Amino acid sequence: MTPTREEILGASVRQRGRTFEDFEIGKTYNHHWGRTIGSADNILFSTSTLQINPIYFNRRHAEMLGHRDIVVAPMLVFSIVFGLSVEDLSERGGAFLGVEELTFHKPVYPEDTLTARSTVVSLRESRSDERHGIATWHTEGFNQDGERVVDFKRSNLVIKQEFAA
Amino acid sequence: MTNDGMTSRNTYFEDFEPGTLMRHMRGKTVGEFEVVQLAHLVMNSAQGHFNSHAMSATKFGVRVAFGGITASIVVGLASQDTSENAIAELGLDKLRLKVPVVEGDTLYSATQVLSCSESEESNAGVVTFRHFGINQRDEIVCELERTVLIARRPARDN
Repeated sequence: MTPTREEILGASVRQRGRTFEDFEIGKTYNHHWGRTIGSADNILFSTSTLQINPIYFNRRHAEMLGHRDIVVAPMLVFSIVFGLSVEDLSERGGAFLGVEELTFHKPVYPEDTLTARSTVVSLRESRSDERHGIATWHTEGFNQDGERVVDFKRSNLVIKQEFAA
Repeated sequence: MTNDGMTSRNTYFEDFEPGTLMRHMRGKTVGEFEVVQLAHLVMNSAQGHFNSHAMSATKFGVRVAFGGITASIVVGLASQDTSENAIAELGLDKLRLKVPVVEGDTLYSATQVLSCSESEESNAGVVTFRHFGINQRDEIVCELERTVLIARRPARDN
């Protein structure tokens, strides 16, 4: 039987993401999806966010500096590894506060595939915001050979269960 | 390696000095592309970056830019003056997002040179910058430190 409009609108929403109470220090999340970075992804990102160093958009120049190909802009590597972590860590809402101790360990090249994982580092109350707690995670990004290409600590406000929509 | 005019001749390691403070010439207005498309490009699944309807019911009222994209644009606006001759980006630290960025905002960038130090590589040195992202209301929207390995001036260019 086809459901009525009222039944469709009344269906429960399949929630994604977590609330503050769901996290415990030391727990690790292997994030979903992964992402192969195409050459066009890098060119689009590098040009539209003005990453002005020709190693990010001129193959000959990158090769002259000893790279095997164009280098994927590190800010894109950071943003994708972060993006892959969002559903597990911060999807339910709460401001992204900052990043500490980010290291770019190895260059990433077009057609590399990145995956990400995160571990809960700290959980604390917010002094100014009773609706959210402050979580800090250690996030790591890896290439297809399992080599770590980036890692950083990210802090976010995370909505508490009783205030979550 | 010689600089065949591909990059500026005044952004080598020797050109930086701790304490220097500079504003970068170009600004960039953030539009739907930067807020929505770039959030999608980097796999950010939080709908606050791409669902206007849901965001209309929040204190923001509109979609907000992903902070990773805000930081990328602020670094980008500073990049020609700070890292056009970089060999590698080494890291970031103390990134703080202070003011939300939304469609229609214009970002500018300013940079303070924090330190310059020798590197194990003879042809390059390490420079740490502090970048400031500024909006059209002159508010500091974000700050970050960024450490870069920058080529020394090639002998031929002296």
